[in-house]
Amino acid sequence: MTLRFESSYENLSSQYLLKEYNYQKQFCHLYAHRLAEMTRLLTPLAQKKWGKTEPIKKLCELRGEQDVHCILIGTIYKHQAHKPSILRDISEENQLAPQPPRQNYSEPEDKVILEDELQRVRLQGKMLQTQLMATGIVCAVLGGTDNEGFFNVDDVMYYESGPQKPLSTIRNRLLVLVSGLDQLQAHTYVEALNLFQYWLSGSLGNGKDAKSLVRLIIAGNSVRGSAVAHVPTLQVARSQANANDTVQAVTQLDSWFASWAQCLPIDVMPGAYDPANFMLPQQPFHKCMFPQAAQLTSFQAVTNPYNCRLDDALIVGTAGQNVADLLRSTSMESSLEALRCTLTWGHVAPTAPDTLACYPYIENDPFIMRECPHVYFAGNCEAFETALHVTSEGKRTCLVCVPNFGKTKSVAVVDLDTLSCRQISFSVESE
Amino acid sequence: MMDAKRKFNSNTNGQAKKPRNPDEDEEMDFEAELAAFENSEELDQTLLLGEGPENQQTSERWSRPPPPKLDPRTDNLEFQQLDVENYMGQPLPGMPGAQLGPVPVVRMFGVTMQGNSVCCHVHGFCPYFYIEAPTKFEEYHCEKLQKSLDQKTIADIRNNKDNVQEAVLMVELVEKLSIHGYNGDQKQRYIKITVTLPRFVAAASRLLKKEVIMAEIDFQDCRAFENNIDFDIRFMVDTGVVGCNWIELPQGHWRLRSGNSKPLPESRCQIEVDVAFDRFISHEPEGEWSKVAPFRILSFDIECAGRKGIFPEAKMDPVIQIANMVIRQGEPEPFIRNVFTLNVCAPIIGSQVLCHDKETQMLDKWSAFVREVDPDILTGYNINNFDIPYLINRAAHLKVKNFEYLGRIKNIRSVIKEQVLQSKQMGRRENQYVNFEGRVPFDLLFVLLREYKLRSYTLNAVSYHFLQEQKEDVHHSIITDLQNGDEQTRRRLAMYCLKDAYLPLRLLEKLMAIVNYMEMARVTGVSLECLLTRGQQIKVLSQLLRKAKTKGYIMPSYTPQGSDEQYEGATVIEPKRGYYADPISTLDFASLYPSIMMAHNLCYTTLVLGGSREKLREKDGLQDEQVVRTPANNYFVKSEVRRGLLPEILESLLAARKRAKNDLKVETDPFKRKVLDGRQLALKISANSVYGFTGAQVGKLPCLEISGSVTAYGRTMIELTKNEVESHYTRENGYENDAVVIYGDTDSVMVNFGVKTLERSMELGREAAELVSAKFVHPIKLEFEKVYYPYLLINKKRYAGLYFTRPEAYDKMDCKGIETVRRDNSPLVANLMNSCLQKLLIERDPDGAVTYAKQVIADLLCNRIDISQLVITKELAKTDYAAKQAHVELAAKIKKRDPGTAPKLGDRVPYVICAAAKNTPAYAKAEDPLYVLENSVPIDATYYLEQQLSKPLLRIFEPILGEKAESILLKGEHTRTRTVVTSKVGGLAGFMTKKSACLGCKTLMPKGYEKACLCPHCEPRMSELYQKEVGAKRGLEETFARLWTECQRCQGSLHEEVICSNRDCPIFYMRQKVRMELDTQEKRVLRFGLAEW
Repeated sequence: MTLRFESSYENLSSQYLLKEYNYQKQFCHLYAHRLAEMTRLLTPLAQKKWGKTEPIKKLCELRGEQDVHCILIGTIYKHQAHKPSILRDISEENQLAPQPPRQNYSEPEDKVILEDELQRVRLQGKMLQTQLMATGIVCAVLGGTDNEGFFNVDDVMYYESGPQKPLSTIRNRLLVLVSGLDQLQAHTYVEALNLFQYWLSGSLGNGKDAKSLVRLIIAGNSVRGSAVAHVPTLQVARSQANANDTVQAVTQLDSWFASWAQCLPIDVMPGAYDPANFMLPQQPFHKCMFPQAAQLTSFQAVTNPYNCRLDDALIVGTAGQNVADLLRSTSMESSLEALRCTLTWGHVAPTAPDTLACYPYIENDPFIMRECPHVYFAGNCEAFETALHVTSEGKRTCLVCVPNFGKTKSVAVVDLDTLSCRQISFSVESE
Repeated sequence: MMDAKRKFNSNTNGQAKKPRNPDEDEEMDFEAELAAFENSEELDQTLLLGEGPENQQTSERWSRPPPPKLDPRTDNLEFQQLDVENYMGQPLPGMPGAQLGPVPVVRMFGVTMQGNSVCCHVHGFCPYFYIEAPTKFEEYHCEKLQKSLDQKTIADIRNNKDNVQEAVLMVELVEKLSIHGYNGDQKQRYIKITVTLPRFVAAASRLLKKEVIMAEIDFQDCRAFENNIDFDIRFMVDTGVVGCNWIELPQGHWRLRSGNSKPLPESRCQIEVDVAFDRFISHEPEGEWSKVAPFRILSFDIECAGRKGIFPEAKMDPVIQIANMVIRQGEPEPFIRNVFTLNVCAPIIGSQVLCHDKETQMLDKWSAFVREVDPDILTGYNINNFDIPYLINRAAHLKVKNFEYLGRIKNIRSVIKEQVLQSKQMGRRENQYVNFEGRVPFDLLFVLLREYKLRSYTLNAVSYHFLQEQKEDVHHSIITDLQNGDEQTRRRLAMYCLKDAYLPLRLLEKLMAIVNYMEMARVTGVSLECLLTRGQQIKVLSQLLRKAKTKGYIMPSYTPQGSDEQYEGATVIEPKRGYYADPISTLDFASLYPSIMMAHNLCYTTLVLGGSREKLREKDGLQDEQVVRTPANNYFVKSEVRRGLLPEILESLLAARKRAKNDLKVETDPFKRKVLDGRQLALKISANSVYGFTGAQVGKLPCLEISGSVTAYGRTMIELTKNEVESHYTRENGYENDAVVIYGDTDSVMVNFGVKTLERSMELGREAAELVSAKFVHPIKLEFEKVYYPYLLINKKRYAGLYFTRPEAYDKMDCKGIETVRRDNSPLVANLMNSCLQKLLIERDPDGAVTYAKQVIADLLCNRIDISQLVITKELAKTDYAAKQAHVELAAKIKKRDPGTAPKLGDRVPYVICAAAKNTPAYAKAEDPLYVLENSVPIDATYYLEQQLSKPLLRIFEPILGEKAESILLKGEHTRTRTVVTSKVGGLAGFMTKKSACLGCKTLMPKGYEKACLCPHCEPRMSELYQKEVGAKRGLEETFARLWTECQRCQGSLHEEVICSNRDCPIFYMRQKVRMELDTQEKRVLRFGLAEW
């Protein structure tokens, strides 16, 4: 291993690790915990922002009265006519002519509903950007009831991911983020991968830079980059995919990882299409899949989402499902915008469980962002995008949309001191 | 749809709205929907004040608008009547008719255009009937007969507690014609006997037959006429009142009842008036008078807190909530939405919540609410047999004073009566009937049972079918728990209850049920209520009487005899079975039976009765050429001699239909369009039921000569058409091919012209229709309507095809007699049939269809079919069937297992057929689907294959595969692999111990490896086998998440647990199954150990 700067590392993802499973539970508990905890977090902030004179009320206290001005805290439910529905999919009337799933089902007619522990109310108002809202967000709204049963929103407030620990400048440390290695298709870009490997090891004349590379996070879809085509039948699902090619791909990956792990520590996250479980949080790959790489202490498989601390920088990221789901259900146009929104909302994956599969937690909601990260990334984005998100209180977060390697042959490199990020391309194709 | 929505759309910056399927449009969150209902009117917080059966004015929103000041001397009063009934009352001075009480008074209830309710007493109309006059009977006998019959009739009254002093009012000698049989135009002498009360019609005609009334004249053999006509119908016929028409009381001819008038008002209507039966104007529902008054429809639903395992009984179980929605006809949304609750219930935005401490108080207030709202129509789902009787029984049990005064007459209680309806259309049904003087109970369930053939009639199934919406279904046992919880759990229940009150309104609107029924009432002349509670015959009878009256005919009464006389039915040309890939043109006779009756002048009045032909020839000089002999060997006079009544009725019906259709074309107002469309449909149905009336052997006046002749004409016409087409369209005559009639049934003929394009087949079809039409008597007309392309002809009355009326695109897939809706089949059959037909007809891929069918059979045998596809449902109607029945046996089995959830009488029992030892009868193999899932009980795939799938499958594939169909489909390679599930219960399950097996090769684990996941042999393949198990888990996880979030959405709350137990929902079993499978699969994955690093 080339000589590297030492950097302290702490895995903070234990909340995502599942030791026992119980599928007899429903999703309401997850929503209930999310609402309870976020209400606790939002209450003091709301009072600070809007003053103590505005009462915080429960919907059931409004008793249907009009013109009550107050603060409500609740979970957003967005009613969307074209939201994917399994009921519609299997309805016998149109079983053989299934509508192709829509890429985006956000519409101006979507209705935004706020639900607290017991009741619901429809929200309206200019402040409310209906098409940017998503099911599962917890927020505080200031406004008043009207005689048509609406709550007219004057202002909306989100948790904005809580406090942030200060970041001390130590020295030049770089974090490499890569996603979408798509080993099944990798035969078309072996050279790019080789080039990437040389770069990691510092043999591309980048020896000085390479020393600063403190960690590589592989953010999902390393084995497979796209969904297996579904055959519609009368049954729920037929999961007998041809497993042989993925097994081979995993073996190949094992040797790539083994050689990269010679250069620097590697964390590999599962992604949407990888041979891992489907629901968030996705559990780490099993050791048996990477017999070579697993022997190295510098290699580990981690959960998706994944939280860790490098020195004092908090790094949080996903393989991109949270962002992709928002792009489907809202009118947001870029992954970066979606990523920024989840940070503002203080929740990694608000649309889980509604349209994003997730484990039916009964005792907590592990996806709430209680501490504001320094680096926040989403894997498998169409293109590289980055921004430094600075809040009014001075919290700074480097947002990174990690490009899909299979499509862009590029990776993202984050400077942990300046929180700046750049793209490095390994494309060998001549222009 | 609603205010809020409109508002929303207007915000879209003039953006063009995407066209959306209206069917999937309105599936929004119900709570938000309720909230959005709330309109600008002030939410009424006024509590219900006052007590007693007088109408209380407690709320401006509830009450009707105040009536205008009316002066009978200068004002006309116009109202649309919705209900006509009669009662025994005292004669009113100055009114016609008997002047000694009691007399029958007709009451009409209705609404004015301003929305005021009207009760109109019509005086002076007397019941009457006719008998044939004996030859010796002369004018001067009348008085004597009247006196004698009067005495006998009064003497005949058992106990004359009404103190009837006058029974027979008048006897007249009149000249009329009998409707039955042509006997020349010479009128006959009949005695018209007018009596004071309707019940004396039957009594007097019985006495005339049985007793000696006049010594000198014998009436025993005199045939009675029109003594079997209901008084209400009689009144409506004679005064020209048809169902739901407009009544006008001209100034100076009516009296207004008010606080100090005599007599005093008796009703709860805002306007109560008296009029003589010959002084009001009954408007024909045409032109201006086809309008509809803004009448009020109340839809409601009750919840009861039952005990576990017992169907709620009014004597034991309290009513805990009553949800109400009131809509004005023609408006899009209800203007009153409220729920009466027992105990405190949290508020619901957009609906008024009225909490009550005591059940008696709640019932009392609800009853007052009904009186105040004063609805014209009561609706709901199964209210006639459940909600209404339950409320009345419950109120009686709790002794709630005045509760039963729900009708419009102040002193009449609503009481429950049993009613049996026997009709050909629906079979025998026992119903409960409750009277609501002036309000029409219009149970949506009745409408659906009458008009639609569905697999299931639960509100869930129905709303899914028509609105594509699932409905949360809360099991009775949970209802009690919710009631016993807090104000929030009761609120949840109230939401559920409100939805059940709202859905019937939406369904009525979607199906246009009220508009269609109202038009039917207007066309056929019977009252709205008759249409739901009586059969088809009354409608024809009402029309026939009306026509007969204008022409001086009277109708003999007929006593149904258990006659087995049969006439030959419609003809069927032997089908040339097969799968036709070429276009098949279909030629249809438009309104075949009505047009035959019109063309050949078939009627009671034109029938030359057997043997009377000779007499007529001699006496009336009836020439042979004036008589037509039908193919059924009956004789009818031609229309030059006498125009039949039935042809006239049919002509006016069909002409009216044509007018309605023309009006429909130019009408732009959506509501008026609905009315017109309902009207033309009603006219069509009515025209077709005339034929049925003549053939109904238990009917009022069956006439097999007519119905037999109609079908006989039909048969010859089909034959003629076949011959004409086949002899004209030949190669010899220069056509592409020799045309072949491949099938013909009743009123249509399918022709294969042997051409390849739709355009050409349509052209030939049109030409042939004209060619053949020319050979028939007007108005019989052969029409070219459609082309089937391709066409699968299975057998008589069983076929399917893609239906084209224009060459560009098909209209629909048309299936007749194929197992897609049969209720005693599992959904698997219907779905498989549907898919195969779609592949055959739409995709034109017979091979694909075969492959698909094989695939499903393989899936069935390998236990890969979702259990909801296999569920068969039957209603537990009684427990003592003669033969053992699967669902009854199962209900008993469940009762032993858990009396709490066992199906009760009237419940529908879902079951699946499970594998069992050989020769176990099918009824013993039924099992509860949930139990099957939870205990992995193996399904009897063979039963489903052989008893359910094989016959319908072979039927559709035999025309394609021929003899080999069975061996290809049911015995092929795909049937070799079977998966056998090991049950957790029964049989040997108790003796089995589970030993761990290798996840790779399934061998038992060798010693020292008991805890491992793989045997030493498979260990090297660990990565591969692990990925396989994880892969299986992925699919299940996705399904789990999609299913349970769907339920979370459907119930309209994120933070509350899903408690729905709607077994009709296609995902009900799936969500349970996926839980179990996921647990099992997770255990397999965990055997590889946690992924720890």
